[in-house]
Amino acid sequence: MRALNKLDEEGQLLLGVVRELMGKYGESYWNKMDESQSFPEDFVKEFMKLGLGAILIPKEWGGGGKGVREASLILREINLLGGNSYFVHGHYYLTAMLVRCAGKEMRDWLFPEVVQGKRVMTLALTEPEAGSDSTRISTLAERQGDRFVVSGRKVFISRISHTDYFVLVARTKRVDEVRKKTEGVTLFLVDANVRGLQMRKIRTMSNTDAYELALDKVEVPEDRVIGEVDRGFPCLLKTLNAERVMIAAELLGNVRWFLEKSVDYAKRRVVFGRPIGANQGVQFPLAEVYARLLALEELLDASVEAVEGEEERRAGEMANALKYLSAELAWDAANVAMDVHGGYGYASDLGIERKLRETRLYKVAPVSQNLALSYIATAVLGLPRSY
Amino acid sequence: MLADLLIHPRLVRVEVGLNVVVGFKVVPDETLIKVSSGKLDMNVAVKISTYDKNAIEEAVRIKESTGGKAIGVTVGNTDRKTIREALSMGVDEVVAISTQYTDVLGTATAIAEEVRSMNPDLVLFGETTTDGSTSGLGPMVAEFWGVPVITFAKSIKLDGKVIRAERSLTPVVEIVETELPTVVTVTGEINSPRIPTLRQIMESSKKPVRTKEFKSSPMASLDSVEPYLVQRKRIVLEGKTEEVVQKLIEALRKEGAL
Ligand SMILES: Cc1cc2nc3c(=O)[nH]c(=O)nc-3n(C[C@H](O)[C@H](O)[C@H](O)COP(=O)(O)OP(=O)(O)OC[C@H]3O[C@@H](n4cnc5c(N)ncnc54)[C@H](O)[C@@H]3O)c2cc1C
Repeated sequence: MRALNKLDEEGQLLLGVVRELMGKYGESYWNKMDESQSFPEDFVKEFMKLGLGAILIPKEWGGGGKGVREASLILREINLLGGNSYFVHGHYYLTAMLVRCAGKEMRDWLFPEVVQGKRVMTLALTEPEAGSDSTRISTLAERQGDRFVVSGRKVFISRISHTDYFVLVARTKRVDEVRKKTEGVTLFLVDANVRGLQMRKIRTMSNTDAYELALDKVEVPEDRVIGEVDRGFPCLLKTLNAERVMIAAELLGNVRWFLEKSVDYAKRRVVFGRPIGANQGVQFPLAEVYARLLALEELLDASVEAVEGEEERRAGEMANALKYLSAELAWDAANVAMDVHGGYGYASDLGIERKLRETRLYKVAPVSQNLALSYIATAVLGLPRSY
Repeated sequence: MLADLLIHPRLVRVEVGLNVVVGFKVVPDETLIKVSSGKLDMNVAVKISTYDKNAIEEAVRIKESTGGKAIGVTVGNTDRKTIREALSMGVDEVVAISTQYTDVLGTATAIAEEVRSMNPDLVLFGETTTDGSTSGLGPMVAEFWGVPVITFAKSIKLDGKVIRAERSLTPVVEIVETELPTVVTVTGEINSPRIPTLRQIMESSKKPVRTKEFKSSPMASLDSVEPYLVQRKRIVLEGKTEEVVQKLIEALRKEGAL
């Protein structure tokens, strides 16, 4: 796989670290966390302690100076070894965002903290009335002297009870006060235990640790603005491409996991006197998953290079195409795995149904499949917009 | 006496750090080796042989607690990434000796040569490697170097120049004591090897790796490596659990498994 082969020596060593870590947190750990809907705190703590949370921070602040390639492959590795990288992926795309957009002053105090293990795991963007249509958010940040006072509501905000900081997206100008709806949006770095923040856990289909938030006059000092006031949206968009590639890599990790489990089972399970894998009805779907996986693993490599490059349209089309196709493939692979395993796929012990539920999320989040296609249709193919 | 010490502070006994040499071997990752059409596919990623990691961990712990040095020695495949893994775990430097195929005797000769020139306090090895599995290297190096050897240590304690070890000899544990310098081979029980951190990985790039060549004519040659395949018996016992259990026990007895 080209994306892997291009890793340098340090990147390879980091993957070795992830493998050893996953050796301590095997499938039964993740099954247990899922069963009790618990945040895998021990795993995340150790992940941070090993410095895996600091790989994207530039070397001058003591970080690893690595990029989207390493982050993506680490997330993929966690998933292909049976884990759920959901619990750390936010930290990767948010540190990627901060490296791109935070000003000098913020870098100087924040990056050493991240290197010490502080977490930035959460983006608070989605609102009850604004999901796909993210410029429609109405959470408002009003300037009062040297601070902003923020009120509004957010929904489906992941991991916020286990992070040190979160990135809050709010309007500093109402949508009807700006020429373009992407203007007037500001990103803030907020302490997770800030006053005026209330949260309520949302029970979801898989173990997600997602919350509904109410912000009631939350005070954020002006030096906590990431980048420039009113100009947060372009930064957000750029990071979203990196995020899509990382999510796709995770999904391709899941595909490998589903495939390995299923091929192994299809060889061993004997029905009507022969292994079920001898039947074309069983082997063809597996072969098809493998064929699609091969293609997408190559696309992953090209997409990593596109999002690390300067050409924005190329990054957008690659990231969206890769995320769309990977989420479809992972979901199909999950269902093939369920079929191959018969009743045992439905039983919880093997973890197949857990992984299926975890995989389903990515047809909706962080961007829905329709919206990924809509980007390709409008921004790339030049078709008229539906919005 | 006390007055002497005050006047001559140099007379105060200073605990000097111990210098530890640790041998480790770069081997094919056995978990990745597959059998395809009757042959072993050995073209897989390499790793530090399993128990050699325990030896490295022990060497680093001794170095950390006594303030000495831990020097790695590897013979054979000198894969850079794997050597960096040893450095990331805390080894200070590595002597990487590349050879064509060599037998244990050759490896022992090469390592003994290094050990003699470094004259360390302690030399550690894993109890056996995951590829060759001879368990012979430690004793051979000790013999060449002319020091005692303790094999299969599941714990070691150091008190000045005295070393005390528990030897894990299922079903008994033997406690032995000797004086440094000595060679010790360790079992997997002795510790849990640390996982290196990002920082240690990055710093390992600055640590020295001395490369050398060693030429030897092996006394024993490796002719071929064949997979050892165990055919399943595929016996299915059917019936009520109570009856089947009895049948299973009988069948296992017949096979000599019980
Ligand atoms: C477990 C979980 C965790 C999450 N974590 C976070 C988080 O940490 N931070 C955060 O900010 N958000 C988070 N989200 C929110 C997620 O990003 C949104 O759910 C997602 O962007 C979709 O928004 P929505 O749910 O409002 O759907 P809507 O925008 O209401 O869309 C509903 C459906 O309509 C379709 N649709 C809408 N408009 C069009 C159109 N023009 N053309 C075609 N189809 C259209 C969509 O594709 C979708 O299928 C999370 C969600 C979940 C479920």
